[in-house]
Amino acid sequence: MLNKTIKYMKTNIIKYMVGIFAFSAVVFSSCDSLELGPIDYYGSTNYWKTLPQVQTYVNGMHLDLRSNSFNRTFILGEARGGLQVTGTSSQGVSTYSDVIKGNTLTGDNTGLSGWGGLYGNIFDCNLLIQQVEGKPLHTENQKAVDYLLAQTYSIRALYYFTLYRAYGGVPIVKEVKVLNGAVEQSQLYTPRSTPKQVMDFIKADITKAFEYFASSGTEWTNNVTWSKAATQMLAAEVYLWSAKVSLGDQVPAATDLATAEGYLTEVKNNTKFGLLDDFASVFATTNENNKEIIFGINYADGEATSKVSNFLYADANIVSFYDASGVKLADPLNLKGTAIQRYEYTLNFWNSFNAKDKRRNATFMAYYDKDNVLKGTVLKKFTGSISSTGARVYDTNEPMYRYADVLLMLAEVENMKGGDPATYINQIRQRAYGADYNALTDAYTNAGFKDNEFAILSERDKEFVYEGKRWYDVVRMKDAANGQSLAFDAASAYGTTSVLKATETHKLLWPVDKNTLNGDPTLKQTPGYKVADQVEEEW
Amino acid sequence: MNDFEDILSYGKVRTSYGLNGNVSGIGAYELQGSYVGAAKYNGLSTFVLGSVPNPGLLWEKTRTLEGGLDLSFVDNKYSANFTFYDRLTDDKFASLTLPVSSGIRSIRTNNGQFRNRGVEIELSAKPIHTKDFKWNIGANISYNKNTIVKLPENGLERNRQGAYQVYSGKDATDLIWVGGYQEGQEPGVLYAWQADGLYKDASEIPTDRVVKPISFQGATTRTLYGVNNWNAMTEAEKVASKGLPILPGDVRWKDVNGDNVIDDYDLVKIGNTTPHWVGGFNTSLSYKNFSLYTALDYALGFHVLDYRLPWILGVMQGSYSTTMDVTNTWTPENPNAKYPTYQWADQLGKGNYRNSTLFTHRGDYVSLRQLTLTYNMPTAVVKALRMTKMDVSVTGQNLGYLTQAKTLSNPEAGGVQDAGYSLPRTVLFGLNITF
Repeated sequence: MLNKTIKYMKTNIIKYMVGIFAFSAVVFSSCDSLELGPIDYYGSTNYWKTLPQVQTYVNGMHLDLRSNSFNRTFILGEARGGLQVTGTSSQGVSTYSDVIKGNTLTGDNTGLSGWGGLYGNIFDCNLLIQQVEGKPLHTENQKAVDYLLAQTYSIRALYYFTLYRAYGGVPIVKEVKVLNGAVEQSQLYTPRSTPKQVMDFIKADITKAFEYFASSGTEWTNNVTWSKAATQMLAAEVYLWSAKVSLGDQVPAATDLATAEGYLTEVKNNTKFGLLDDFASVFATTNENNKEIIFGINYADGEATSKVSNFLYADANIVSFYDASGVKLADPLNLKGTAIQRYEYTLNFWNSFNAKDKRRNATFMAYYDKDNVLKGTVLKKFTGSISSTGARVYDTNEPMYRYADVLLMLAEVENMKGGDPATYINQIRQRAYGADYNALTDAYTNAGFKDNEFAILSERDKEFVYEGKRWYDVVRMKDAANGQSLAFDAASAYGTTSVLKATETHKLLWPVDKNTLNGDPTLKQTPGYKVADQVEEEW
Repeated sequence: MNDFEDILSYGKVRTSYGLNGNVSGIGAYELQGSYVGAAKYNGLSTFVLGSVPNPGLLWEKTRTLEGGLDLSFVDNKYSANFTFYDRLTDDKFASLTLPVSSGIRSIRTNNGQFRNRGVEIELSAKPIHTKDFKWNIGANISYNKNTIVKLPENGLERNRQGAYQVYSGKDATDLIWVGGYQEGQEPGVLYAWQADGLYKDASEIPTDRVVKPISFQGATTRTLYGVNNWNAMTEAEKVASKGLPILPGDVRWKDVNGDNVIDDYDLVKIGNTTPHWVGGFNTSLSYKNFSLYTALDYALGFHVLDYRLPWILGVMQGSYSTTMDVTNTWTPENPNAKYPTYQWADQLGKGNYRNSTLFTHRGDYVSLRQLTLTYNMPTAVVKALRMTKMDVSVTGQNLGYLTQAKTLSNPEAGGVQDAGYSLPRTVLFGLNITF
């Protein structure tokens, strides 16, 4: 690669530098030195040479998972789920991401741009695979590199699965062409593949990841490092989605549901994991290494803190409110002026909690006016801790996969199979109600596909607030085994209007912004979002 | 030749041709890329790609052809220089935006061929040159135009890069690609919505008109509806639409394609953003011991968009003091105001304070750059003080502009201009003594 550079430069010099002798002499000598890699610095000549370099790069990919976490989980996975206040919050603050939360997306107002930024992260996965897989470094450190490749393939599958659920067919890019000298736009144009091609690609990456986990002999480091169990959870989500959601040429395969169930059962039977007795303790910063969190994003003081400060309050705003017993509020969560309310869950959702449900007060803090009328809520589930220097630090780890999800996905599988999901639902409900649980009055009993699906959704909603599940849930879950998405059913939004209108089936996906389309003429708009002279995909 | 000596005192024809290579601005390790340490994750060190390796980058090459004529007349009393230049840059360094799916936002490449062509003229004269009274005048002007000659083949019309679409106005749907880099065009052109005044009262609100939401200043505006469009909706639909009716005091946007819908494509060309003409003028007059020096400079033929004033008048971030222009915003009592209604967070509401012709100006300016008045002490006085020379002076710098772009703190730069500090207006008092 470098030799090529030098050849270019030399040809160039000979061609164009005629008569500027002194200058070119300097350049020629500097070309010779280019053949050496820098010694105080890592560039393309001296990276990817040692195992620790690959390991720290995989650490860097975890860093990426943390940096894109808010976009990837909340914006893409939850914001559109119809449980968000738009316009002005109950504290009188103008809210963020309204176009997304209100599902008013159009081809002109796309909410996100540049595929949600995920191709930059896919680039990192591709780069590692391209530089390491099958190279001498790999063969010399087979097992250790296999483990790193297992993680890399899994994380790439996660990104493509995230893109798939947002956009359907997307460009499949699996190598870094720029490293091969391709810097012209036309060499990098990549049209959108069909939904089935993308889904097959995701499944192939997952298969590859499992092969590498098997040959590496390593399955687990800790619950904030990508593990085999995390891949099993991802695989279960992928196959469950594949079993329930059709898009264009992607239709459920007969084996999808059983495959999902297989992965879920493997995790369920893994003695490393289980439900905690107390819901709130799952998110306690003193208890991060608990058996319920299968995989989460690590936050720590001095490293990074989460975006949850936008779901709380500024002191100046909260002082206008009172608690349930009529006491005027003054920084009740001890946030020390670090937060504001740019995002708020609807009161309809808060009101849908059973009074016995411990999750309500572990998740939200409600506030009232002086006449004890409920005015609004803030999200207190992820408020983190107070640091050694007395500062508020939003360092609660954000779970991506936890044991409660295993049970509720199994419930969904059971419902699809025409079985009885009540056992799974009740396990979750019992833990949520704690000592107040009364099997006679509180237990769920099997009640047909649609009611079961609603019961599972309702349990998931209360369980996974701010864990990036809600939007995916209302898209994936259905009113009949081959029915339509619950996003079109008003009951799923705890109010009078559904998340999406019946006429808005195209909004199950996201539009692509103009700049992204203009930057690659082989791209077409998501069906239903065409503006001006754009061309749409026809899946 | 001697016949012309009285008239032409000096004459010279110049020409030059040069080829230059350029690698300035290229980092030492840019071709190799970099891998750099980043924040820790769970206490572990991390490495990420700092910059993308760029092994294919070539030199930038410039070919310059210049021709000129230097002339002086009547005992060098009048002189004139003319220069024509044509500079062609090949493999020009540019940051090229790549398809998003490549995972790289942009990369430095050798991006085609750019031409830089112009004329420079310099004139000077000494019309009066007597013992007591001297007068020198100098003036220069140059014309420059940049053209994109060639861009890397990318399968698009004119191999355009970073362009966007606007209505041509030919019919309701015809779109043309403008802006960015396009072969045969000049880079740096400004497009904006055209404000055809305000709706002064309810009778002026159009019956059939929809203003679509736009995104600017990090937010998105609401949909605005004309009288019939608004009245056609039920109360529930009005709420669900999250829209607003057009009201007096809103801007009457030009509907370029005549479809009664104002959207992202209803933009009009304002003009280029780099001056075509720049130059200066200076004169020095001296009478006996007094002398007065004046320098002016100017730039002509470019446009500028004031980015900050609409932000201030649109109350786009919290509370702050506003400018006096607020007295020129629409109210029922002030229907002939220049600016639309003054409302909180315009970028979340009506978008009246978007980038529009309300805030674009011709950037043309003349600057009174310097004025110096000097008094040389009479020789007798200087001698008595045992000096060889002594003068006192007062100089004013950056004394003012003649320009239409009055709301900008510094009208000298074109394109989209944010608020900033104006050049300081300075007054210098000088005492110059030579022993």
